[in-house]
Amino acid sequence: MSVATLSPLLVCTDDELLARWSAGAREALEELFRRYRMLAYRVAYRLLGNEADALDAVQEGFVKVLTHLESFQGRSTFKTWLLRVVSNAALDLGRQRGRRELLSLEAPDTEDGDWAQPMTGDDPGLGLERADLRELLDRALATLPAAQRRTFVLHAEAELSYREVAEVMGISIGTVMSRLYYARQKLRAYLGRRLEREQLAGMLTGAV
Amino acid sequence: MKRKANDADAPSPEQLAAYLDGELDLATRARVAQWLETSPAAGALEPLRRLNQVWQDAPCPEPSPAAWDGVLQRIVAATAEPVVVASAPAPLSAGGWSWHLRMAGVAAAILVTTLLLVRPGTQQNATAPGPQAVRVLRVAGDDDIEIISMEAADIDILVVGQPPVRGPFVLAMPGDVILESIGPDPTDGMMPQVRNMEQSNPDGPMILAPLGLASNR
Repeated sequence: MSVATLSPLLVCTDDELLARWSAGAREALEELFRRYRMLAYRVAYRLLGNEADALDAVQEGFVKVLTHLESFQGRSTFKTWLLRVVSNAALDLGRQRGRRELLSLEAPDTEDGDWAQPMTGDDPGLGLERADLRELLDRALATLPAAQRRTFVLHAEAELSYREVAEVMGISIGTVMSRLYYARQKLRAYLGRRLEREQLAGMLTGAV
Repeated sequence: MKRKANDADAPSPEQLAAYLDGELDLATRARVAQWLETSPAAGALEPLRRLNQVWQDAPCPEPSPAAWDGVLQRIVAATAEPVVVASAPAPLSAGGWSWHLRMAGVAAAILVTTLLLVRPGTQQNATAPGPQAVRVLRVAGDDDIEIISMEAADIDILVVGQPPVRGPFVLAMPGDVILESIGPDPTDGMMPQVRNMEQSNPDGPMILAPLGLASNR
């Protein structure tokens, strides 16, 4: 594709697109949406566990950032600001729609702990299909405290650096590292037990 | 000859994870790398790698193009709507305020009344006649603020949690509510008793704030 056929919006920075949108250019909004919709969706999906709710959170997040541009004073990137708002919207949505924790947070988080309930729909004779694995990850994430879950999702799913995660959540990088550590410990403990049948537990357990 | 790693050189588990994530500074990364070369516990990274792999093996399902189009259309529609905000407080001589307000308003601060109209299928209504330059009213969520300190007397009025309803806020205009009385509030200031004049939803929820006598809020 020659340069001449590229939309000029593709080379605009986020700030330029925001300025264009503020001036009434709808196509600037569409470009911003195209750039960040999937990233926002993946974060929301991991926090909510289903497509419909995740799309609602993405929609709400975009609407909030675009109607509160005066709050965005360039102290962060548009990406981190958007993800902050979207992840907030996702957590709010999860609470309002009664996203029940699949496992009690009071359950012991040691590798030898007795988890509250086994996986539903598991057939010991079948390997884990991708959808099953996704459901398993969703259940595992649900065992994390909200702050750890959000920190882990922003890093692992949105692929934000520690500094960017700290910026999104308004915490120190040290706190990011600590939350990621504990989140990973809990996830490994949960997944290890349930993947044991698939002979993957040995690859997840370890000294860390 | 490589020096054998000892416990004193062992990086913390957080540092090991940060090493795998590529988040360490050069000096620390080099130290951890050296430790990994000589430590029998260097296999500690493997579980982290496997967890990353499990994560990557189950990516999020991608919405359909139609789903994306629907979201975009709703965003465009929502951001094209004017944001309804309260006008400046109506002067006491404005029609619609009861004589109670005129009598009590001399001492009371600005009354902030939010009328929540929960009507299915409706959007925010621009109740102000004609176009207006309005300021956006920001409503903070519980993640937007951090409580630094508070007075003990305020604990009873501290709202923790989510707004009671999901939907747009419609701020009251003069004539939307009638002030029936003002009485002392158990916390500090005065609490108004108002009546909703909204005929379609006379019992709709409202948020009222007690106001101090000595200062405007």
